[in-house]
Amino acid sequence: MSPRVLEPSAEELRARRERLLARLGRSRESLEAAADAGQLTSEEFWLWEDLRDVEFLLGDDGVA
Amino acid sequence: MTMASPDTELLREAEAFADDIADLLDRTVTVDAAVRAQVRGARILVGAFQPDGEATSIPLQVRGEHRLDLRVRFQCEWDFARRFLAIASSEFALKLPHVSEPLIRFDYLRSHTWSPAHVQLHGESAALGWLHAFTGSTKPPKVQELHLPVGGKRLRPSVEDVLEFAIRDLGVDPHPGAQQRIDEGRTRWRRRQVMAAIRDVVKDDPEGAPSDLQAAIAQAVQDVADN
Repeated sequence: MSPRVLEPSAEELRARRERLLARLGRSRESLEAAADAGQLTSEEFWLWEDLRDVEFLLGDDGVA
Repeated sequence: MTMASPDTELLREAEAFADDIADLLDRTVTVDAAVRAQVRGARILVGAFQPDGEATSIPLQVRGEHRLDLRVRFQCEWDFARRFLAIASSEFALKLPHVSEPLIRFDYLRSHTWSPAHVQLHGESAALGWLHAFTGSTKPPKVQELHLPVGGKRLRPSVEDVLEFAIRDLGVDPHPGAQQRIDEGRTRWRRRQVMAAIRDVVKDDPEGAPSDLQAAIAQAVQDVADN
């Protein structure tokens, strides 16, 4: 497979998720509430987007 | 949620998609764009990622200097028939380096029932402030909170449109031949989107839609032949 394709394990993704939450310094629930209310700072917003990408790969995002 | 290992076909689709986006970027505005696909179970994330999977931005140059960053990513999975990669969401954002607030974002969120494809422009508007005085809202308005609808689910802007905008309106340096690559990619995108829209119509009306579509195609063929 091309080096352009990564296959992260669930453990890697969970670790990445924890790192993002640590950088954000807030609970998942409070982040979601702030995002819904448009109250995230720009910096928080990008980390939130990264978190949602990780959760998409984990299947924890409710998209399916 | 249990997720099986990705099948070979999905991995192939992920690779082809990432290769196409990298080719588009490198033939228009970037050099060795860090485009990768991340695959887990039946889901694919394509965008700008470091080799360890962490998100990154793609530097763009204006008059030879790094003046803008492009953030791009697509969340994808098989469509309902497992024939095409369906995009669950996409995000293209243009921002200044080292500044969190973007200039503009082009977002698509398939699950949104209202304005699933929209543009959010970051800026100030005196007119919006004036209007706010009459709305009764207690929250001060921000231009970036407006979700400007663009083309809906199927005819939303493509990444080619965003690159063309960056070149023409923001002064990003294009490579020689960039416009040709943009035009080629956009033509493929539009064609795929029309095919998907046809499936939407048939899915909504399996009895009546096929004959309507066949009649529309026959008429289009005749119109092209006549002109």
